[in-house]
Amino acid sequence: MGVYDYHREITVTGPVTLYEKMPEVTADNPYKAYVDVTARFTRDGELVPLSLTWEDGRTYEIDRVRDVQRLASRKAGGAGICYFCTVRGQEIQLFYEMNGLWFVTRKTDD
Amino acid sequence: MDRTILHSDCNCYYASVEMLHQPKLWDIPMAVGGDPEARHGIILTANYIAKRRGVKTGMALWQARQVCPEITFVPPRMDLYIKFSRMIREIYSEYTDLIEPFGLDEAWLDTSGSCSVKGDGMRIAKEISGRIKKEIGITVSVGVSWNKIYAKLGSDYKKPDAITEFSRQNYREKAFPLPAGDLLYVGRSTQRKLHNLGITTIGELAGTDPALLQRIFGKVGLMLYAFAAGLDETPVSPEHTEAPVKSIGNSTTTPRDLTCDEDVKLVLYLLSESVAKRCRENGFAGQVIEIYVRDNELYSVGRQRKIAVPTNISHEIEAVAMELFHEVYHWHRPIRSIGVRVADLKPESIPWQISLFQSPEQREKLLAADRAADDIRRRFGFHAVQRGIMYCDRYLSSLNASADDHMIHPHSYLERGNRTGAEKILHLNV
Repeated sequence: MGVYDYHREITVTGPVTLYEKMPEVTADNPYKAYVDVTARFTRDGELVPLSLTWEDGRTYEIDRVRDVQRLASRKAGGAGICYFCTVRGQEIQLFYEMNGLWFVTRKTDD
Repeated sequence: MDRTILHSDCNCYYASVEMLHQPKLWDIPMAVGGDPEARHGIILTANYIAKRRGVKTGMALWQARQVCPEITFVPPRMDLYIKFSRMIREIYSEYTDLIEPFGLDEAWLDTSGSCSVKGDGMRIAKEISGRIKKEIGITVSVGVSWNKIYAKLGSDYKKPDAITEFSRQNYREKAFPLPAGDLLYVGRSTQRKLHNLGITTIGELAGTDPALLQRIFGKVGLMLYAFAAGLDETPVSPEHTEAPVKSIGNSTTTPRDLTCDEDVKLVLYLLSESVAKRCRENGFAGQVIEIYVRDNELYSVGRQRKIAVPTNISHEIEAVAMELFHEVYHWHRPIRSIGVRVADLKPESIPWQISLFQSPEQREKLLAADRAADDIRRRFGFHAVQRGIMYCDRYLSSLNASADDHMIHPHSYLERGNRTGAEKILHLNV
């Protein structure tokens, strides 16, 4: 009983985020990048991402979604529904974490 | 016909989930443990690298640091583990509806019904294990057998990321040499008693006369025999059929010792609010209020009281809890942890006898206030609205009393009664 209640710092700055919408990686992880996504819910209940906005503010249209499957990403660190998308001829993996957040694997030099 | 039972056990569950989310933890010794600042300083799970160095679940953080100085501690994130556990269960549910969770990280599955479609137990086990690795990103150990006990033995047999089958053909070679202590319900003292009888392995236990075991251990003796001999018939419970809730409680180890009535009042309000909220969410009102106090020497006392009217109003729960506290505790030592529990649960809508000394209008208002606070917290977060007393000590009140700790503990194997079929054993032999 109670061993699992733990102390959380309250640091409320700016608008309060719903707790369940907190990103699941708080520590710096160079390979994981959360992105803004515009998506469409179809009347069949499907969720289709249309475009994503990278950290630098540039928006990329998603030309095609080749495949959708549940997948874990060891590199970025996380699991969710993975959309294999074609963006400007290149395939990227866009993950939906099922808590309102989307992430992609970031390419780093090392 | 024999059943096909799988027992799946996630390897170092909390540590695995953390390692998945923070890849830099992959190849260093790490452990998920309470926050030492908040004084919950024990290891909940360690990864294999740390385990090899001698770190064990339940150790204090400083002990772990002694055996493995470069260990990294990560505070637990229960909500994340619950989410991943749910995702894993979704995978199970594609194979069967008979899923009985045993804590967050273990589950029994009865796949007898889907074997004609999906293949035999081993094949399903391989598929499930592969999918969890690929889709969730953690590894599991799976045991396959015709009863739950052997399936669990199988999942403990080889770790990590392994599948073990105890079939009718091989169980005598593989399961019988295992120590009897590996069985459920064979703890330290049972093991000692068995040892005095010259029984150390499961095979020896299975070879013992059940009547003798019954004379020594009573009913449990027969059950142990059934477990060891693979005669356990306990069914795997269908999904979403947990035993009914008997009580709702919450307790906490406070970030600092409580030294005066004010402190206790503050923490009791936090706990009562959380308990009352959970009662309301589930449509319950309770008529027995119980408190539990543990001082800094770890002596604990508890007391409960039946109240006139079932309640789920945080103010009323706190008031009774505070009265109980004054009765049981006289401040010989500071307090380290404290808990509140509401039992004798009744449906919220149950009619009650109005008391002469309690105004129903007032109660209505308190209830409405609680509900309004719930709504504000739902929309804007837990700290959006608080009682004034929380400002007396911000450090103490920053404690999060809403953690979902009530769903973590494994339920007892015999929670729904003894369904092992052990009583029949004597008749078989007679």
